[in-house]
Amino acid sequence: MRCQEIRELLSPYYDNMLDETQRIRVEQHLQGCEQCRQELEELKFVIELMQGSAEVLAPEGFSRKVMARVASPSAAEVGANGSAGQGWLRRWGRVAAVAAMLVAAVVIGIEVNEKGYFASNLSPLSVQKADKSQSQVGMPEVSPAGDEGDNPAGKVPAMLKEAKNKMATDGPGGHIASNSMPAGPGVQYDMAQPSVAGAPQALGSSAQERLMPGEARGPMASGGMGSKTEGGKELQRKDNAAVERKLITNGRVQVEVTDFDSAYSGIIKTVEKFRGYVENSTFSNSPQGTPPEEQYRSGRLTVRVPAGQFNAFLEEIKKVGTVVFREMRSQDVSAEFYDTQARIRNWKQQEARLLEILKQAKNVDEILRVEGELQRVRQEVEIMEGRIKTMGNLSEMAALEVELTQVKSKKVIQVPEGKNVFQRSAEAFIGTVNDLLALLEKSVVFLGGLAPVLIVLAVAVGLFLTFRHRKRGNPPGGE
Amino acid sequence: MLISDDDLLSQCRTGDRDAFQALVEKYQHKVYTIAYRFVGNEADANDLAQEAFIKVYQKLSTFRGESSFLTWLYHITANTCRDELRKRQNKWTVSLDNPGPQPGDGTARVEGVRSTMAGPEEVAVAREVQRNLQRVLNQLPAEQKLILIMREIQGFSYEEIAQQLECSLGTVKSRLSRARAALKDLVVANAELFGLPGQVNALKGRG
Repeated sequence: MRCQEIRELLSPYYDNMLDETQRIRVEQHLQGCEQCRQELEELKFVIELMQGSAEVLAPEGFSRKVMARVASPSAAEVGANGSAGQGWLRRWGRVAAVAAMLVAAVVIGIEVNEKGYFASNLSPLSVQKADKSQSQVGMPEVSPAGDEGDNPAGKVPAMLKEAKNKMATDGPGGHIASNSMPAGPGVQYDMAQPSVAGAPQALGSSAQERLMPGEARGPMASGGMGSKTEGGKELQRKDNAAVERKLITNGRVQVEVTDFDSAYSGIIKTVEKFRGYVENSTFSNSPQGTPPEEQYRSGRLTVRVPAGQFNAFLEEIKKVGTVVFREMRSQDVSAEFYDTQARIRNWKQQEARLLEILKQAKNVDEILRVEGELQRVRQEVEIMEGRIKTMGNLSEMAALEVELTQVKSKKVIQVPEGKNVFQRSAEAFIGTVNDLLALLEKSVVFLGGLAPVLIVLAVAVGLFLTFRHRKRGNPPGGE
Repeated sequence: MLISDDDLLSQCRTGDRDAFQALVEKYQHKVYTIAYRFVGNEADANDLAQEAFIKVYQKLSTFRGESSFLTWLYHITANTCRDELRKRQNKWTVSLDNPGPQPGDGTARVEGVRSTMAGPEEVAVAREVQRNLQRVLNQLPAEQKLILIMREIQGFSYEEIAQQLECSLGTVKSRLSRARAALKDLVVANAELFGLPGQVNALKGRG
C-alpha cells in the first residue's frame, strides 16, 4: 500500500517538485525500501533516456520548403501538401459544403416554389404548422441537390466581399474610437508600420495591440506592484496620510498639423501655461530647392508637465492638430518609493545609534571603527535619498513626446472620401442582409411547403441508418 | 551563429526573408525532433515542423520578447503538435500488433540521427536504442507523449507545462508521473532493447 503511494511521488521527487514534508517522507521510505529505490533507478533511466535522446535531423531542403511556403502565404493557408492544411481544407470544406447546400436548396426551392409545384396546394395555415418541425429535418434532406451546385447564388460571394470591405474600413477605425481618439477611419494609413510581407493579418492585430497596453498598463501595474512588497503595504497602513500613488507617466502623440509654426508656438505656450518645460526638441525641413508647395516640415519635442495636469495638457494638444497616434504608459513605483522611504528611516535609526556609540568610544581605534561604519550608513542613506528624489521628480512631471508632422490640408479631405467608401459598403452590407433575409423568408416558406415530402424522406433515411447500424454492430468482434 | 536571435527577429520584422531563413536553419533540427518524437514518422513530422515554422512566421509581429525566442518557438511547436493531436485523435492510436510506420525500418533514417558517440559500434548501438525508444513512444497515448516531450525534450518547467496545457500544477505532476510510469513499464518490458543496466534486470526478475 505504502509503496504504491510513494511510487506515485517518485516522478515529482525526481524533478524536485515535492514540498518539504513529502520529500522527507519519500526519502525516509527510500532508505528502507529496496524495491522503491529500484523503481526510482528505472525512472531515472527512462527520463535520462528521453532527455539524452538524439536530435533528429530535419530532412535535406527543409528550410527551403518552409521558405517556399512562407513566400506564398496562400499556399501556407490552403496547404497543398501540408497535413494541417488539409485539416483546414477539411474543416472549412465542410462548412462551405453545408453553406453551398443550403444556398442551393433555397434557390432551387424558390424556383420550384414560384412555379407553384408545392406551395400553391397548401393553405397558409398548414404552412405555419409545418414550419417549425421541418426547418430541422429539412437540411440533410436537401443535400444531394446541393452537392453539385458550386455557388448557384451569385449573391453569396458578393456579400462576403462587401462584408470584408466593411471589416477593412471598420476594423482599425473602430479601434481608434475605442481608444477615444478624435481621428476618423480615414487616417488609418498613418498607423500602418513597415510590415513583414505576407502577414497583413498579424500586422493589423499588432497595430491594435500597440495601442492597447498604454491604456491597460496603468491599472495593471498598480494592482500588481501595490500588493507585491509587504513592506510597502505595512507602510501604507502606518502613515495613512502619506499614501499617495507614485506613478511615472509618459506618453507619445503624433499630431498632424497644417500650419507648422503656429502649432509649434501653440504647444510651447501651452507648456508654459501648465508650468512645464521642453526637455528637448528636434526639427527637420525639406531639403533646399524643394518647391514651396511640396515643402514638408516635421519636428519632435519632449515636454514635461506636472503629472496631475497631464490629461488637461493632452486636451490642449489636441486643439493644435489632428492626433493620429497616441500611446500612454504609466509605471507604478509606489511600492518601491515607500519601501525606500522605510529603508531610509531604518538606516537613519542606525546612524543615531552609531552616534550614541561614538560618544561612548574610549580610544582612537574604537572611534575609527565606529566612524567607518557611520560613513557606510550615511552613504546608503544618500543613495536612497537620491533614488527617492528621482522617483519623486519623475512622478511629479509626466513626459510627453510630441511628434509634429506638417500635412497639406488635402490629406484631411481624404477623411470624407474614406467615409464614403465606408458608407457605401455599409449600405451594400445592409442591402445584402435584407436580400438575404428575404431569401431566408422565402426559404422557410418553401421548407414548410416541402414538409410532407421531407417527413417521408426523413423516416426512410432514419430506417436505413438504423438498419445499417444494426447490421454493422451484429457480427461479433466487428470493431 | 554570429547574429543573435534578437537581431534576426528584428530583421525579420522588416520583411527580411533571409533573416527568417537563418532562424529556420538554426532551429529546424530542434523543431523537427519534437515533431518527429511526437508523430513517429518522417512525413508527418515534416509537415508538422513546417507548419510550426509557418505559424512562427505569421505570428512574428506578436512576439514581444517576454520569453526567449526558443521558448516561444517550442511553445508554438507544442501547440501545433497538440492541435494536430486533437484533429487526428482517432487516427493516432497505434495498436501493439501494428505499430504503424517505423522510423528505423528503412535505411533513410540512419543518416538522420545525430549521435555524440564516436566508435562505429557505439553509434550503431545508440541508433538502435533511439529506434527502440521511438517505437516505445509510438505506443503511448498522444497526451502522455506530449507531456513527456514537453518535459524531457523541450525542458519546460512544471509551471510552463501547466500554463500551456491550461491545467493545474497538480495535474501536471500526476499526468507526468503516469506518462513516465507508462514509458518505464514499456522500457522495462523490453529491457534488453535498451541496454538497461544489469542490476536493474536482475532486480526486475524479483519484482
